[in-house]
Amino acid sequence: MLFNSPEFFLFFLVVFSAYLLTRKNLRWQNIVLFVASYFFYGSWNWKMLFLMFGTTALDYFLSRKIVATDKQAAKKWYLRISLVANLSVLGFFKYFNFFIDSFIDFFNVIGFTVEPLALQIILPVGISFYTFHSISYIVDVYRGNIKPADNLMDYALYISFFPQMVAGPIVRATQLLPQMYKKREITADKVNAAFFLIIWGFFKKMVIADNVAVVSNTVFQNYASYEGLDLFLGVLAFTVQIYCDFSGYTDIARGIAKLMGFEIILNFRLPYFAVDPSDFWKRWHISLSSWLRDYLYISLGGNRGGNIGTYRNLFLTMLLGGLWHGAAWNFVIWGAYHGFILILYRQYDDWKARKRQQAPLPLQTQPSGTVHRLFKIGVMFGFTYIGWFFFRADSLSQMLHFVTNAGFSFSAETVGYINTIVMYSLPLVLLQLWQHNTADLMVLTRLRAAPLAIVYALLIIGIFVFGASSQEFIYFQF
Amino acid sequence: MSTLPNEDIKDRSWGYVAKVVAITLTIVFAANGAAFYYINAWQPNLLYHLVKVKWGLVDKKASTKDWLVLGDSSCNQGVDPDVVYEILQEDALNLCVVGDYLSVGSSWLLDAYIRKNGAPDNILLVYSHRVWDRKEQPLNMIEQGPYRFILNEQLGDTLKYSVLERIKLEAIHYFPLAVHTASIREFLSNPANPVKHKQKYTVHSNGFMEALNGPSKDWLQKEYEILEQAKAYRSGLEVSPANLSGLKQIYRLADENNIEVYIASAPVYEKRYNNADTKAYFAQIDSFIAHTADTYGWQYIKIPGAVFSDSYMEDEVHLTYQGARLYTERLFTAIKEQQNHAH
Repeated sequence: MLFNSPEFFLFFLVVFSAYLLTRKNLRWQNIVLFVASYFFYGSWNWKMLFLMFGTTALDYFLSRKIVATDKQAAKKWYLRISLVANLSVLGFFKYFNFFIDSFIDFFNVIGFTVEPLALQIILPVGISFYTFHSISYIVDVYRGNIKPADNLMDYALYISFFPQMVAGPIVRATQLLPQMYKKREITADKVNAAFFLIIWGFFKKMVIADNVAVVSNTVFQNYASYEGLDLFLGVLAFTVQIYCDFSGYTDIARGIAKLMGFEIILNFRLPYFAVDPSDFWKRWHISLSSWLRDYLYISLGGNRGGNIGTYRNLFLTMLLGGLWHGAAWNFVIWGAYHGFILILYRQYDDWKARKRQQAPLPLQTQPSGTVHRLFKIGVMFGFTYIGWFFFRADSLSQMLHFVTNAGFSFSAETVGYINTIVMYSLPLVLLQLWQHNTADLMVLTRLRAAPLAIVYALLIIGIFVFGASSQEFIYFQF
Repeated sequence: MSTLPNEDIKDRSWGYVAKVVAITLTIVFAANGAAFYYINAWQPNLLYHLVKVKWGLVDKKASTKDWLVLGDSSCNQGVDPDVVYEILQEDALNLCVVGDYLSVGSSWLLDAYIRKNGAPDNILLVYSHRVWDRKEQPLNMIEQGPYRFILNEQLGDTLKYSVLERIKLEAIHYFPLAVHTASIREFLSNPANPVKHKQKYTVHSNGFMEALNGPSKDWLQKEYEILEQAKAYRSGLEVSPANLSGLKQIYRLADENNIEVYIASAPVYEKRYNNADTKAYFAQIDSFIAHTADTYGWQYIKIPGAVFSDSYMEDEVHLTYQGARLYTERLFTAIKEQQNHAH
């Protein structure tokens, strides 16, 4: 069930009521959440519950084995078994057909005819997310950063916790598991913050994302009929859509968790205000970028192999990060593209430092005037915008069409598209400017009760009147 | 220097939170109330308005007993009870609504009419070729009528909504902000000029609605559009389960109450009817209606005169006022001949 559905509203009403009724007993509260989480996941496809429980049980028992033995070799073996199992499951369900098709295409291109092999594999919802949750847990247990979960149910709850289960954020065990073992306080501060996150999250998703999606979907699905400015606008609409869709879902997830006293990692920090790629990845899908840094980039060697080694590790990490998003070459290209611009900026940074005969420093620590800063934000936004084009494109022919036909000519629909994008993006831009200038994502909650209530009421009315009909969140496909 | 923003959680009291919630809900419900007033006073949505008006006619306890006309919007503005009277000297009540109401909606209207006014002697069913394959009834349309919570066991077959959908149906009836979104958006884009459909549309006391416009030459002359749309019919006729169910209910009600049922060819634009790509589709509709009439013991009034040139059509299924008078005359002349022949 989607967050923006009456079914979820009823579901959460029941779950929250049961959660409050069991507030004096932590164990019972966790049982309520566990049952609710499995019910929530099962509502998508109950058969996939067995898959999720299977990997959950395996990781739980392996984690206990890791701490039970003193032998480092044995610990490593248990870790490897878990990683192989988790990545195999993810690889099979998500990437099997992709690799087979790519393999067949390659051989066809070089002149060998290979019969297609199509397996009807259902992609379990949220598998990319809960696999990464599992990996973070087992690796952190191995590294000694966290004790194993006390019991299977607590660990299963961590993996399946319904607010963040199907589309993130990717919550580390070190962040969420300890919260299972202590009383969760529901305070007025948290409820106040939760209301903002939930209402603003729904507005971003249902009003902004779903309405600008009409422009991006129309242009991308009928790309051959479009040229000139319309192609730019299609990508711009997607740039707004993907941010509002994903951050909207995350806000709702975090708000719901906060209502129950849980703290979930912040996932977005005004990413379109980034000044360079490093800054961007500290602002966009933070839970994924930090996960990739801690469990992949550092494991590959991080920046310990000199420039060449660092660039290789960066590139590979971004490439795999792109592939994580989906089993298609456009995601791989997108990941590679971001790896490339990360390297480009680092090279530029090194070059500037050599010029000044200083040790290389990240661009962020250099003094910068407003105009210069705006310029950097604009350039980085441009790079991000181009990246989203790769991310959204369905095919090579589509990419070629965009590249060869984009321009500044107007069509009969151009003004309408501009109006749609501007009208729906305006509330987002206004709030984000305020958040940026105050460096406070919760700045709206500084208002006194009456003005804040007026804003909330307008947002809620906007959701009803302007919200497009229930559409699945983009990141559910991952 | 790039400063990463943080979440600065403010110290707040429960009193503050309660105040925010209370004021927010007050404003939202006030806006909903304003929307309620606007929707009922100005009737911006014709479809919802028609549903309400037709149910109002059922509730009115009219004395009409001779003919009930049931069907879609082509029938709503296509069958004029005044012409029925001119030909048969019998009273008719036009309870046709819109296509999305399907035959299921017609069965509800019939059932309610029988309960309140007694059974009519005859029913005429008229549905255009665009209705038979429609599958769903939009909840938003159903909530305009009194049958929101179908508790009646006899009609249970025709309404297969889940408990959650029925709860939603009832809830949204009182929340026009969530239902009449297109109308409210129109209003917000031009608040100085709210639409007044009450004056714009004329639905007579006999249920007949006069066509809004004259012949739409722009539409009818766009032949390439007609050709393009024709391709959609190539996959063949698939009558939806909801429509089949509705017809079955009408049969049951007619059978129980000794009502004579006639089902007629619906009016259609000649270029659509004669289009090479759609001919087979119309032939299938013809077979389906003939089979239904045969199965249920109904009279199939198949008249060549249901095919009209552009001077009588607003669009491919909706007649102008002159077209409606002509269609009704042809239809009931054929019915009269059939009745005379039977006697």
